[in-house]
This record gives sequence, structure tokens and C-alpha cells, in this order.
Amino acid sequence: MIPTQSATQTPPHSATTATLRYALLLLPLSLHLALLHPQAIAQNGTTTPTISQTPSFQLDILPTLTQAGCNSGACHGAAAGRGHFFLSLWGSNPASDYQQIVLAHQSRRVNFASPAESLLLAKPTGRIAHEGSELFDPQSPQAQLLEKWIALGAPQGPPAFVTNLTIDSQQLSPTSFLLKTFATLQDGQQFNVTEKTKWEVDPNGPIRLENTQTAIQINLEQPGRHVLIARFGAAFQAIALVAPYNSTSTPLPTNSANPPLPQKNPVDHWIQLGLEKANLDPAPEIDHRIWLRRVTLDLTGKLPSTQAIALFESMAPESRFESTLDRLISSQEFNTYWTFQLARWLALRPLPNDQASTTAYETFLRDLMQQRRSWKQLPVELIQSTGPSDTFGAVNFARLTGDPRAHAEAISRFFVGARLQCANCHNHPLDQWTQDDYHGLAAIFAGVDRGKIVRYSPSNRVTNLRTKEPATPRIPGLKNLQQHSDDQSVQDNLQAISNWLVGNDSTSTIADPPKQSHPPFARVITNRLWASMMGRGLIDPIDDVRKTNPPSHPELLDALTELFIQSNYHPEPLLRLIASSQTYRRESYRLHPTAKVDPSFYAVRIDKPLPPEVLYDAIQDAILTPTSFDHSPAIPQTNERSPQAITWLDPTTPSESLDILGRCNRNTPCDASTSNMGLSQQLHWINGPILNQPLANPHAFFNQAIENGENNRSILQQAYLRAYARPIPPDQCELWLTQIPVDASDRKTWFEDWFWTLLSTSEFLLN
Amino acid sequence: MNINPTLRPSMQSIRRRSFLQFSLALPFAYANSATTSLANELPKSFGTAKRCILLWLDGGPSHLEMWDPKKDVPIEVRGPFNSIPTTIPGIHFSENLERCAAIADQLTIIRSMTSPLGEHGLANQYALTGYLPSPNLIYPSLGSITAHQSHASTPIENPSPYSNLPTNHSNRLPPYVGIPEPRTGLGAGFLGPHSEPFWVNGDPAQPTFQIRDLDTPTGFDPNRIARRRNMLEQLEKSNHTNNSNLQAAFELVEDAQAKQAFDLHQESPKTREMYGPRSFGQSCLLARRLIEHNVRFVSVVQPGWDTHENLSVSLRDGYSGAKVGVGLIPTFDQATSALINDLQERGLLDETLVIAMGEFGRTPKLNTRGGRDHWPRVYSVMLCGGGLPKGLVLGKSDNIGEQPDANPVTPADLIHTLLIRLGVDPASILVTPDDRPIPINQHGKPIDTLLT
Repeated sequence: MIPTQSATQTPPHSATTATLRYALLLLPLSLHLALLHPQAIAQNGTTTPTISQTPSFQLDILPTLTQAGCNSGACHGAAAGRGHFFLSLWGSNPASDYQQIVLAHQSRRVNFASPAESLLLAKPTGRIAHEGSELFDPQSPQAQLLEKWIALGAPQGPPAFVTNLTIDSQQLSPTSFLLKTFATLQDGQQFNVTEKTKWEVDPNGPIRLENTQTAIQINLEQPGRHVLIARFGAAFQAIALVAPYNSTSTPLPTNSANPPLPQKNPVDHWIQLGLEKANLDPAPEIDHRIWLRRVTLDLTGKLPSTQAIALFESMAPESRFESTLDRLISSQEFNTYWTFQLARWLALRPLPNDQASTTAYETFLRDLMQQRRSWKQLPVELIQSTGPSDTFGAVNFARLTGDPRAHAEAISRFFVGARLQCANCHNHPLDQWTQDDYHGLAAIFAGVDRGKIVRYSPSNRVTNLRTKEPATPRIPGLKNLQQHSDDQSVQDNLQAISNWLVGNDSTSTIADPPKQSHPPFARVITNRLWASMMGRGLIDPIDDVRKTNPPSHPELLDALTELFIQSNYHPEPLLRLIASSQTYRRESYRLHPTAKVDPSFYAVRIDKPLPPEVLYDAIQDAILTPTSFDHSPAIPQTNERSPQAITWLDPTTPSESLDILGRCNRNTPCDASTSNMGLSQQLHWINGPILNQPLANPHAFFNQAIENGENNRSILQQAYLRAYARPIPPDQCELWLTQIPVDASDRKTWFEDWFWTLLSTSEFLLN
Repeated sequence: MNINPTLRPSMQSIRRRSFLQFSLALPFAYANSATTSLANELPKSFGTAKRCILLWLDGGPSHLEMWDPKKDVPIEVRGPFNSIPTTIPGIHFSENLERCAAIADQLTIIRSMTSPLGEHGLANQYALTGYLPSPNLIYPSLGSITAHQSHASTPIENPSPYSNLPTNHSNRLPPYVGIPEPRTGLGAGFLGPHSEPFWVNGDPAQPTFQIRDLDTPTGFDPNRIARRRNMLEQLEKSNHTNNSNLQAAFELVEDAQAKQAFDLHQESPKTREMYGPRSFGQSCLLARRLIEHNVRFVSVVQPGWDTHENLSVSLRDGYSGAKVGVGLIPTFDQATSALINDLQERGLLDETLVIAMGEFGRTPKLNTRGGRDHWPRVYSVMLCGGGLPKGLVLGKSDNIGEQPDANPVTPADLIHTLLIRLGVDPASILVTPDDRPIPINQHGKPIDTLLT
């Protein structure tokens, strides 16, 4: 089903035509995939909903408790239980729950002689004081079910394991849907479980639920994309529903001058389908020069130089996009910027008193980008490397984590995009990860000794908090591995993990293949690359990949991931595809402040504040002439340090301005970190050195221009190109020309002040 | 779903406008409120507190070592300290709260706070916002709500948050200041950057303490600041963009008088000594100065209350072998009592609400390391001033401080009640960036005894 392609060994940055050809190939494939999407599964083959004669503990009783919220984390499902009644979270441990409900405390929670008097019923129906309030009426089906079950002797019944929960949706009107849920058991039987499904809905949100006879009706009170979570016992599923905007809520002008092009690019294809579903018009296309600024910042973290702008304008409109992308993707700046991005994603930070290892780690990342090696090497080297940390830089990923659990969490955050730490104390409430997964992953990394020389430590163990036994090494959600016995076994397990991350695990025997999707690492990096270009992940936030956080455009994410895999984990073709799309060329919210549309439709470009390091460099580049860089007093001086902030991979590189702009120290994940313009930053902007120093520099471009005898008009024009990459509008030019003083020194300070204001607008600060 | 408001600066004013529409539609707001009906008659307690100082004891202070000590119980419950009588008959505090015990007749202590959340990152959000944390939305803290509500009463034409209050110099100051460094939970959530606290980002106990970049660099002609401000306005007008959040900073930079609020050197050495030499004491003093200059809300953070081990050292001594205790509680005791006495002497206490709390209490039994772990089932909060009853102990915990015995109070109830005292209607509606109406407080009930 997945095409095998061999044309991927070509150096990716020169693979323009291959990319396009591939993109065309991708389209029908993705359409085909869409038809198989789970939500499209028809109801055939399901049995009618029944409560069997004898209520089943696992399929009737526990789901009823889940539905009422008894075993939620805020109540008896908390790790510490509640009122000495301990239930597993959402009923994830039926055996222990049965023990608690039926056997514990000499069975005082059930009363076989008089079932209706059972504590299990008297509490939630409010007949006995219950801190969790009255949850259902004594006459309700829930109460009757519990009573019947107790009357029958509260049988535990045979184990019944729900392997999959699906949601079937039927659209009644643009804003209302009829939903049914179906549970699939281990033996393949499918049940309609709508009646016992708990729907998680934010009471302040725009989703309203109504019970009908056989289904649940959802009314969406606001246009946009809404995610709903269904629980049946411990099983759960999420569904995204879209309510369309109406014509008055889409204030975007349609751009008749640019009729929609045929959607050759899969990005445009899937985004367009989403827009149609939401009844949205996209924002108009931007000026090509704005595209140049946008794409230069997104691909290289720098502003376009005035020479690059001139070159761009000299090229024919039909070829300027492709050749700009060629130039940017093959540039040195591209390497520098994506090294910085990787360092940020990996939370590279210094090891105390170990500059040599920090430098080695930095060198590892620089070399990876400099040599344009496949990112498929990242899991291999960061996970499996051993040796002296000042020589083999990649081993420092492990050293920075500190202990096996933190190691497992760092692996899951970067390589899987998942927040696994919830599963330390209980099964993840919003994802598939179990405690065994968490401790099993930690058990693998228990085999790594994170000393100055990283080596294997096969005898080291972590305790599984669930079993209180040494945890068995495990690939999360997949299979157990051998317990460590010697160095080779540790190495095998580390290799198994990195194989799993990049999908090399072809030999694995999956007992229950839930239609294996793309390897986790390919998917999470694809999502990060998209977010980095588009201002928002298809899965958002990017480090919160989980079953209950579905992508806004699942088919697009699949298609892009497929491209990334086919490019052998080189980012360039994917970045190029995104940058070439129409979707990428839209005007932004800055120009459409009244366009209050859900940004996940990408109808309007999402403005991203420049990250602190990029902003810092952009200020220097906009103000100073290139030759003056080395002498800039604005740059905190150490002799050998590069003046560019994005080359400072170590986040503790001293710079007061970067600290104030909100540079992330990377001690905690900082994927969301952006320049934050609060009052402290504003004061710094006005009074601090960040702008004032370079503006006062004799090498500021306007000072140089004045020295060279250039006239005011020319300086105004250069200023706009440097700050915004677009020409100054004639009326602006005339307006300012009248205000410029004649006196030589006044003229210089006037330009200082005026250029300060140019750099203080949202047009400069956002991309 | 949650659009970052910083991305769309010019929406700020729109959002505030729609907020005003909501708050003018009061019948609607109240009709939706099942908890209170301020609409018909404002209680006398509404708005008695004009300003607020929140002493945030970050990490979860032990109720058993502070406001709710247990006497006739086994040592593993009692802990390392004794208790002492206070100026409220029959009420004891921990022996390390000597000075607070002497002014107990000024205080309100709630001994029956209860919450289901025992993790710092979640519990502090609940304690400070009154909302259980949601993955969909970050709710605003009490300070940000209060600051936001003072913005909302200003005319809407000028988007600058605090430039349009009556021509009182002090109002150039931000409405919400945090001392010293940012802490999670104290921020604006979905209300956005305008309602974030202004963090002083420095230690007021340092002799060189000053607010960074508050003053124009030496040798820089101040007229040029005015010129830049003017040019920026022209530029934004012609570009149809709006970045006026710099305007608030301009106002402050150009206002020498307002800036003096941050200058601790204007205090006498005697006053400075009274608050204690440590960071928390001087932070409380700075808070008092800001309050005097009409800052509406000040949060002072005292970190380090997550005392999982060796309570004698962390809570009392400060370091092993200390002769005079300089740990968390003595530092707190000196600074807090000085603050309350000082506010009292200056006639500010009746209009200034002082809150001292953390995110939860500590386990009833000592752990094996001589510390206590997280315990949200019951804990204590101290309140004072702002028109609250004096010398009141509300609610109680059971005999080992394990759960509430009477009058359980949730963080939602407490926030609800404090909002009323601060003159904010808990039922009025805030609007999220994606236009969802959210009541300021939803699940709380007013604590009647604190509103009489």
C-alpha cells in the first residue's frame, strides 16, 4: 500500500522535480487513505446494544462508574483514592477494582441481602452523605443496573478487554451531529455502547450534548473545529467535528484577482478541503516580496539582505519562487538555523563544569547539518552512542537527562512528541500509554550509565510503580523486551527503541496490529517542521501528541510524513513543499485583525513572534552594514564569539538582551517559547541597549549613507527594504521627507529615532 | 484553538469592547449565575478592598507548622515545634509565628481549605484562579482578574491599559506587579499580555536593587523619547497597524514621580529593618510602597515551602546550627507582621486586603526524612484587612489535620469571596480570544462569614 520509492538518495536540496513528482503521486494515495479513515467505517457487522442478562463487571459496571465519574482522577480514581475507597483511574485495573468494590472491608460496599442498601448504591444516589454529591437517581437505569448486579451476587464474570472504541458520526445539520460509540472486544465482537459512554465536554466550551433514544446528539454553538472525547470504561476515543462559519462570520474579502489555482500541492489540496468544510474563504495572497521575507526568516532565521531582494525582483515571476527556495535551502544560513532549531528541540544546555562535552554536543549537531546527514541518524546516535562525552557529542543527550525516568521522558518528548510522564503513577488518562509502558521504557534506559564516559550498566533496574517489581524493558504500546543481562542485551534494547522510532522494526511481531501508522519520529518531526513554517502544528501543541489530540488535517499529516520518510528523513523536500504552497502565501492576521477564525484552518497566515535569538539577529542585520559587524558594540564582546545569536547553541551564553526577550533556558521544555513583549521587554526596548546601541553605531546603515552623501529619499527607501523587505509607499516617503532636519547631527539622530520606530512595529516583530 | 493574543495586538481593544458589552448586559450575567445575585443589591462587603497584597507561599506551606498546630497528638503528627497562644482566646499558632500570634486579633484564619489537587503545577492554578485546570484554557489568576477589571472601567478609545485613569500620577504604574521573579499560576492566562503582572525581576533586599530599564540611559536626550513615541503613532496610523502596548511603557518612563514607587531608598533604615533584611521582607516593603502609589494588586512570592525533609532546618533555622532562626517561618512572621502593622499605622489596612497562602498543606504525618509531603485535603489560609472580620478562625480540621471537620472551603469559594471584597462581580463574564464567554468565577460559593 505504501509505495516503495528508491529515488530518495538524490541530495534533497537539488531534488526539486523529484519533490513535485512525488507530490503529484501522493495525492491519489492520500485520497485513498481518507476513505479508510476510521470515522468513515459503516456500522455493518455490529450487534445490537444489549445489557446481557447478567450484567458484566467489566462491560457494564465499570463503564457505569466511569460515566458517573466515580473513578476519575478527582474522585476515587486518584492515586490516594478517596474516603479509603480506591478505584483505578477510569477502571483501567478491573481486578483491583473488583477487589475494592466487592471484597474489601468484608464486602461492606455491597449488601447481598438487601442490594438497594449497598453502599455502592446509597452513596452515589445521595441516600447516605456523599462528598461527591448525588450522581444518579435511585430509579435511574444506572442504579437499577448496579442493584441487579449485586442481587445476582456481584459476579466478576470472565475478563472482557476492549481493544478499540470507535465513534460513528452522522451529520444532521451544519452544526449538529448524531454520535454512537462502538466497543470492539478482543474476540472481535462489536457492541453499541452509546448508553454507557461518558462524553468529556468542557462546561464552558461551545459543545452541547443532548441524549436521544439511541444516540447522543451534539450541537456546536460556535463555528470552528471542536474535539470531543468519549470514554467507555477505560477505553476512549476522540473525534473532531467541524461547524461551518456563516457568511457574516467570515469577513475575509475574496480575492477575485487571484482565482483559486488547481491544487497541485497536497498542502493546498487538504487545506482547501478543510476550508470548504468550514465554509471559509482564504485570505488574499501576499505581495511576493513579503513572501521573500517570510520564507527567508522561516528557512534561515534571517532577514533577506537588500541584495537578495534586488535579485528576487530581477527574476521572472514564474521562476523566482523556485530559485529562491534553491538558494535558501542550499545556503550556509540554512545549516546554521536548523542546527539552532535542533538544539532548541533537543533542549541542549550546558553540563555543569563540562564545557568540553557541551562543545562536543554542539559539534555533533553542527556536523549533522553541515554534512546534510539524514535526521534518521538522530535516534540512532542520540540513543545508542557510548563513549567519552567530550569526544562523542551525541552521548550528551543521555547525560543531560540525569536518570532513567527523565531519560525516558526526554525520549518520548523529542522523538514521540508525547508527554509520557503522566504514566509514571497511573495509566495515561488521555493517551494509550500505560504504567508498564512508562516504566518499561525507563527500564531500557536504566541500562545506560550517564557518567562522563557513557557506557552500559546492564545490572541497573528501575521499579515499576504498579507492580513494585523491577520493570521489564518494553517498547511502549508494543511489546516487552528481554531484561538486561549483559552489555549486548542493553545494546539490543536501545537498538530496538531507535528502530521502533524510525520504523525499521519490520521483524516485530505485533499481536494486535491497530493499523500501524507512520513511525513516531517521522510523524513528530514532520509536525514540528510544519509548525515551524506555519505557526501552528497540525497537532497542536507540537509536544502533546496523543490519541485525544487529533491532528487538524490527519490526511495532510500522513501525506507529509510519507514525504519525509520517502526523502529518507531529510527535511528539505518537506520544507520546500510547504514554502511552495498557496497556503503559505496568505496574508496574515496582522492585516486581518477582525478575522476571528479558528487558526487551525489556515485560512489566514498565523503571525509568529520572532524567537528571541532570531529577533536579536534581525535587529543587527537591519541596522548595521555588513562590514561593521565585528565592531558592533551592541554585541556583548567575547573575542571569539560569533556575533549571531542563533549560533549560540548554549542557552547560557551571556546576553542580557536575550534573557529579557525571554530566551528559554531549556531546563523545562520550551517549544512554545517566543519573545514576550510585556512591560519589562517594552522598557528594555525603549531604554535598554538592544536597539539603542546598534542605532548609535557609526556603522548603522543610515550613518554610512549620510557619510556617503546619499539623500534622504534614498535612506528612507533603504530603511523600508531593510526592515520590511518592501518599498516605502510614496505617501509615507513624502510625509517623512518634510520632517527630516537639515543640521548634520540632528539629521543623524532623527534617523536613529525614526528607524527605532520602524523596528518597533508588529510588521517587524512578527513573521 | 486558543489563539495567542500577542499575535493579534489590535484585537485587544475589540475584545475589551465586547467585554464591556457583556458587563453592561448585567441582567444576562446575573441570570447565568446560580451562585450569587449581586444584581439586586450589592452587599455592603462589595469592593471594601481597594487594593490587594498576595503573599504567595510557593510550594505548599504546612498548616500544621503554622496556623493549625495540633497539641495532644503523637509526635509524628505534631512535628518538631510547639504551639503558642494567640490574642484570640483559645487559638494557638505554631511557636515560630510569634509576631503573627500577637496580632491574631487582626487576622482571619481559614483552617478548612480543601482541594482535590496535590501536584504543584495543577494545585497552584486552582488556588490562584478558582478554576480546576483545563487542558483547553489557562484561566487568569486573581491578580490578573483584578487588574483586568480595573482596565475595563477605563474608556475604551485608548487601548493603553492604564493611561486613562484619573490624572493621578500613580496610575501610570502597572495595575498588577509581581515581586521578585515570575512564578507559574500568577499570570493572566487567556486574558493576555495586558493583564500579566509586571515582574520587578530583581531582589529588593540587594542594595543595588532597581527596576531594569526604567530610566532613560544617561546622556540620552529625553525629548527624543517623546519624538519616538510620536513617530510610532504616526507610523502605525498610516500602516493601519497597532502596536500600542509600547504606550504604557512610554507613560511610565516619562513619569518621574510614579517611578519613585519602586525606590526603597526613600524608606528610613528603621522601616527597612522592621521588615527584616531578607528578600521576602524587603519585597513586602516594596509591596506596601506600591500599594501606597495606588497599584491595585501586588503578588509577593516566597519560594521554598515544598518542605519534604527536615522541617526544623527548612521552616525554622534556615541552615543547620543557626542560633537565631532565619528559616521560612521566622522570615515570614517578621515580614508579614511588619506589613500588617505598617498598613495599619498608615491607615491603609481597612482598604487593603492581605492574603497569605500556598497551593496546599502538608501530610498529617511526618515522612521518614523528617518532612511532610503534599496534602491538599485540608490546609490553612491567612487573610487580613480589606474589611474582613478581625480575629476570626473559620472552619477546622480534624484532630490530626487530615481533613476538614467543619465548613470546608474550596479554592473556588475563596476566590469567589475575595473577588466580592475586591469589587469584582464573580458572575460577570470574560471573553476568551476565541470569543467564548467565561464567568469570572463559576464553581465557588460566597463564604458568608467573610462578607458581613
